[in-house]
Amino acid sequence: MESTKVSHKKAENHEPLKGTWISCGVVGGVILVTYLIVYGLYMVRV
Amino acid sequence: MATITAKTIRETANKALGISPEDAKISKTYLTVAFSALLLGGFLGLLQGLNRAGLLEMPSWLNYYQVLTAHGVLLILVLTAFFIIGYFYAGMSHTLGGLLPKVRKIVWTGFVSKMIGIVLVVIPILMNEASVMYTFYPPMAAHPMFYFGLVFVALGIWLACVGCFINVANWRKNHKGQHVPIFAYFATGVFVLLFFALIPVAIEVFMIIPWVLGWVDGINVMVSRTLFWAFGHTLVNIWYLSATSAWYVVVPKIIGGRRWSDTLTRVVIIALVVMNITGGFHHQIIDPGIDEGIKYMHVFMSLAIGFPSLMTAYAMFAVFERTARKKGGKGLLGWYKKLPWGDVRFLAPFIAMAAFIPAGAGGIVQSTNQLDQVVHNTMWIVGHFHLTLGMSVVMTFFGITYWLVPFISGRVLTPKMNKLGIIQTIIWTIGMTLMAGAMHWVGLLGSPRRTSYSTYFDNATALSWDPYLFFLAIGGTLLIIGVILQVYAVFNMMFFAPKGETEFPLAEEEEGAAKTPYWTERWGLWIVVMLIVVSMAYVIPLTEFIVNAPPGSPPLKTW
Repeated sequence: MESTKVSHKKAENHEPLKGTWISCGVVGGVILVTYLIVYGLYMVRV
Repeated sequence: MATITAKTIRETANKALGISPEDAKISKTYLTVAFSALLLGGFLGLLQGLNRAGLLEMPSWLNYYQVLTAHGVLLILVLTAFFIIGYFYAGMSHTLGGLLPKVRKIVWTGFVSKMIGIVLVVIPILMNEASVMYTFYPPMAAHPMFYFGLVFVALGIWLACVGCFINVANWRKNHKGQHVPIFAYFATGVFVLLFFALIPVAIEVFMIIPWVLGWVDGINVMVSRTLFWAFGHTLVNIWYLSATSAWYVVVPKIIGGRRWSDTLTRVVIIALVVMNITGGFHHQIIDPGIDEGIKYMHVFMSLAIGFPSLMTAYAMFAVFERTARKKGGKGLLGWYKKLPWGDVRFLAPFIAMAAFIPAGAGGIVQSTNQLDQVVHNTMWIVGHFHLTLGMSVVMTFFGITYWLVPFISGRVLTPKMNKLGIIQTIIWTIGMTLMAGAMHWVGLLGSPRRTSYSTYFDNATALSWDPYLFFLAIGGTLLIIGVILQVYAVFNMMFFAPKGETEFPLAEEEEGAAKTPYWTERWGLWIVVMLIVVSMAYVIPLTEFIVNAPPGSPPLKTW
């Protein structure tokens, strides 16, 4: 019983953090969009 | 043995009482000044916002640039410096077993020095003799009293740094081989940065004083600007590092979770300390007189600061997901629902973190030489600044007050006050989104910063900014409501809330976490590395500015 508990905890700790990576993807997306907006304006005005 | 006993008694007392009354008094005094500055600076900000939107004409006895200077000094220098010292000293007292008596004396002396300095700074601003904005670099010249005041402010902050170093060193002496508690580690990083960031600006002020007194005819503008921004940009990241201390250490506890990797946290602090000061150059990325190769190096040096921020983003999301899933959260993103959205101590710093996504993105993009040309000296920069400082940093500070003020005052956060905090947070978020959003947009359309309202002789482009500037005014109006609510909340929790015990929320490390390597404690080494990086960044351009100096500029009064 004790060993079952431990292995359950281990499995929980190793669960992939998919939501974290999606959230980090949003951060990357915002950086990219900001780059595109300002780069677009730079190219238009240069 | 006697030392151990005294230490043990102090630590036990701190555990039982939270904080000693003497230490609590220090933090309460500092926070009182900070939030008084917020109230005054907030009203001045409203005047500016309404003027900038073309809705209010300043009375003849009040100059727009005078208001701009006072707004900047009160919120950028006074609010942040006093909040940071009050906050970290409360945390150091709690985690290091109380402040040493000599440290208390030092930080009180620093307080007096800063207050004398602020009075000396404010008098010439009120007389309209120092409308040089908070950046105050030449060739604009203020009344000499303004710079004497700055010397006292800098001395006061240095004393707070020294007090921190003494207290941490004393703890390390008594806890050989142990890691400094993470909160005190953050405090060390912040005060190391403050200590070194003040050196260039002190040199600048000592260049300016003989110039404004008429002892020398001219001043090297480029050298002064460079010295200012070595301080100015570091100050921004000192606020950021202070806010992240709450994100890493406090927020996980509030949501019922544990801290992310202790090693990663300490590496982020070291990285921000080592790489920060050189970031100042991106404020000068389109200045003349700087070699292209040097600018190229500085773009990378500025972008490097983004890495610890991205590590922080991952760490925070991971803490949220892990905690929410333990509480039964499901789905790819459905677990977000399990976070305590009704708790202002979480909501405010969470929105602050979310705001840092566009704020950080703007910072990364505008550090690039060519792209900075699109936004440089436009209202975009003002919007960026309000998003980073006004949202990411200040809203974290607001969130901190809902547990820090009750903690140092021996009172509790009531459900009613929590509700008020939620309302304040929502008002502030809407206000700052409207204001900073409008500033970003008109900046992209070409509206310049650091100017009062003008239609430029009814120029069509300038007139096209007006509808967006109206949003700036609406945002500014909402923000003053937010300021009033926040100041009310702070003083209510300090003096009128029900008495009781409030915890200083410090999250534990995760169970079975890997041991943090001891090299993270080698502050001497990190300071040497920081100085090497600073030398790489500054020696060549400063030498060029001095060797190839143009004729010095006389003092100018442009207002």
